[in-house]
Amino acid sequence: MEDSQLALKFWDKFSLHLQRIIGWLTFPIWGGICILLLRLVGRYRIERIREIRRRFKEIQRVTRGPIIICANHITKIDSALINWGLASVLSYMKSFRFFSWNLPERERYKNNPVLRLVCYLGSCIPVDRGGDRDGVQKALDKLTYLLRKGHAITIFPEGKRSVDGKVDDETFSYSVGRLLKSVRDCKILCVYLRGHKQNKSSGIPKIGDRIYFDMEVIEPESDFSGLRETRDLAAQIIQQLARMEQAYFATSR
Amino acid sequence: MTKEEVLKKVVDILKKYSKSELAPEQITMETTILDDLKVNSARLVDIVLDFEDAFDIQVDDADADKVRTVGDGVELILSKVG
Repeated sequence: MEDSQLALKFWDKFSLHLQRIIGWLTFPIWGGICILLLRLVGRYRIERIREIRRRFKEIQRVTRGPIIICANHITKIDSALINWGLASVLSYMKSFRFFSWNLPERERYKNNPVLRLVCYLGSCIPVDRGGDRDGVQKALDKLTYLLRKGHAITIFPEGKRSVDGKVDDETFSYSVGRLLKSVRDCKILCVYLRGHKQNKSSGIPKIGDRIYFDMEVIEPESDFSGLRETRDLAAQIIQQLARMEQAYFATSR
Repeated sequence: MTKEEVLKKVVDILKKYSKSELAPEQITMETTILDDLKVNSARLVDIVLDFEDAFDIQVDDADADKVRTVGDGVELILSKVG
């Protein structure tokens, strides 16, 4: 699919770039506050954070192209934890394209002006889950456009927070498969994160929890075509996350 | 294949995914898949893949996106089976 086939008008593209520039310029302030909140109020610690950041730098160097970060989803602040884990404020200031865009559900924060501001600055594209197909398609078109511009995005392939805290490898969303078909040179960075005290889904991890953080780059390929290819690509990603979860429970619990 | 035959098969497929209390005989061409049948939007692709298997057709992503009502599904199938 060419850029011209995306249902994006000039204003849509301009708005995305404007949102990004404002987010970047103000990042030392709001990014710093978010990290302070995570560290001092949540008292969270990401295990092996230096090694993770070193590996992410290496991944950036090797892949060069766009990255889709696909993660398991247990808490409402998973996106913040992922961005915190992958790089420092300074690294993001140098290369903000690796601060990933993400797609929170509009319903969750539309009535809270502070959250709306944080989401705007934090490169969020709101979506209406289960909403009209045009809205979902427009969000997918925005992500496709951003990936082609070399940005990183975070997607939770399960489509929602896991109720029992385990990766749901049966009823997952196939949207990531469509994105992969639209941006062929894209790499998938699978991220599995989980607080050690986390047993099931919750708003935030338990205060003072240590966060396990594992990641793996994969390049899904499929012999199918059409919708089966979409499903197969998405399935490979979810299966990778399920394997990472098995590894976590085998070694850390 | 007549429209009624296709509709009957489509309703059979949709029953697997529907969480609504709607009886099969209440499902019409105007019935919406997401709202009336309460199908999870992530399952729409599975439904269209079931259409592919049941009617031996191929549907691309763009055509699959247009399926919102039972009638859309029936019309799509009829356009593919010729």
